[in-house]
Amino acid sequence: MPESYPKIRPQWVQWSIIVGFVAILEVLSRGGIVKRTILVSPSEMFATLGGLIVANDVTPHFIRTMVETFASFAMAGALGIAIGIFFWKFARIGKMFEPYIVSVYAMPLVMFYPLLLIFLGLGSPPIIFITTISSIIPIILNTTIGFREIREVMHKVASSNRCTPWQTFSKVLFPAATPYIFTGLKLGFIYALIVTIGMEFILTDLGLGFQVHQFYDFFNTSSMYAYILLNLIIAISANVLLFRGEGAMRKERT
Amino acid sequence: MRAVGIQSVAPERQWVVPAGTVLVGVVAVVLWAMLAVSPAGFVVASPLRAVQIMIAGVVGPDPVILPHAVSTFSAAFIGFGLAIAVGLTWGIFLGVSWYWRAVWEPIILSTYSIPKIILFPIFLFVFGIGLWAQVSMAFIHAVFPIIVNVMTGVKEVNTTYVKVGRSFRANPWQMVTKVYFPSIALSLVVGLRMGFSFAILGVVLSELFASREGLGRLIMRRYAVLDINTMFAAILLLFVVAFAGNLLFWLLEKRLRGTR
Repeated sequence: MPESYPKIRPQWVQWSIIVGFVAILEVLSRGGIVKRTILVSPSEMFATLGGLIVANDVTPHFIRTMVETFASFAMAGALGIAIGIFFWKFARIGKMFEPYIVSVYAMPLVMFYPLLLIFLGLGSPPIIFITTISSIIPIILNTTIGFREIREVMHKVASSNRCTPWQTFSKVLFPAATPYIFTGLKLGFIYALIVTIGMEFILTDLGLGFQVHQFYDFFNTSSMYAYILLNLIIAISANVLLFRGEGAMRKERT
Repeated sequence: MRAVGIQSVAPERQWVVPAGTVLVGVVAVVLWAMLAVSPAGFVVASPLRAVQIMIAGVVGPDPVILPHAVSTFSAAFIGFGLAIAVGLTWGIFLGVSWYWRAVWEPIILSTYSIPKIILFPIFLFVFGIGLWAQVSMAFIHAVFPIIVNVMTGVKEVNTTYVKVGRSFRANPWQMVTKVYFPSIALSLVVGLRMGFSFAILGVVLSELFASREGLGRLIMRRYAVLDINTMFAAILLLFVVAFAGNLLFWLLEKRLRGTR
């Protein structure tokens, strides 16, 4: 059913909303309607962030956050695909674990941080451990679904070409399951980034998340907002890039 | 963003899977018990001790856990309730209109993907330390999965069903209860399950940063004085409630999936 809506393209309205939101914050802050100790203007956030980047304040924290995110994601990717394939091959075992797998998000794993400190020591390892567990879940679930949803004809193609079991898997089944696996990896990466930054914010002494915490403690509202802004930019860019990549991949395959 | 279950098990010997699920849980508890008697035992309370102290801390004469549990779960439930109200309204509105969906969907998905806990200082500025700061975290963690899932559900309502409803001259109320609701029930429950889990997560995370009371705060403070028993009792209570709530929604999800 076609709707009768203004002929303005949705993207323009979208950008107007974003620009309008930023403009409101700017006016609230500049006009003194909201105190500087609560909100600094977006223009000041960008200026402060620029200053922090030039002063090399950001670099060590950026590196730390990226190392933790990618290390967790790499482990979650490798393990998650393997476990996902295992749960597809042995569906019954997969079903036994399913209630726990889908409940992992409900569990505030951060509560085990004190224990992980004892087993893994200070610094990145406990963060990477918690992040890996959070990141692995969508990868496991989507890999299992990807293999299960392969159409029967693919198995026939493999056998009519006299593929060995390994060829069947590597040349036929795995490529067929790739779109689902990519969706799992996409979600896994987004979770890895969110959990890493969140853990840093609460627990550690280095990283982009921690910087928000530190400048909050210092009552340095301007730098705190600058780091919140940087975290948002990184998370949103990763999200947009991954969604675009997924869209491009689906288009290519159809 | 639908969570899809692992399906298709041979119909014979159906007890195997539930038995296996229970076995996995039992093995986990045994491993926990072994950890408690291992050299790391000084930071791990035994399962039995944790259960005893949890029960005593909630319903005993000296309920040390109860006020914190009330604080955490009331913040989570208020936030979750607000998220349902807002999430349903927005989800339905965006699901019905392709135009406003095109406008808002990228903004909503982007906001969904940010680490919301780092916005907590802003909410502390606005509400001050206390219940409403925690409620706000529960709300922003829970609202996005609900919007996204309801929107997807409404968007994918089969137009044939809508036409059938119209041709039977269903009134708007009947259209909602007989046509739309049954079609979106599954997506709604998926959204509610994720929203519920994220609401508790949001509250507990924010309690670790700044709060007057709450299970997250209790756990950290008891750890600081190495009162490991109370710490584990509080963790156990948190996990039991979160797991039970999640599982209830998940079982409902499976039922709804089964009926189609």
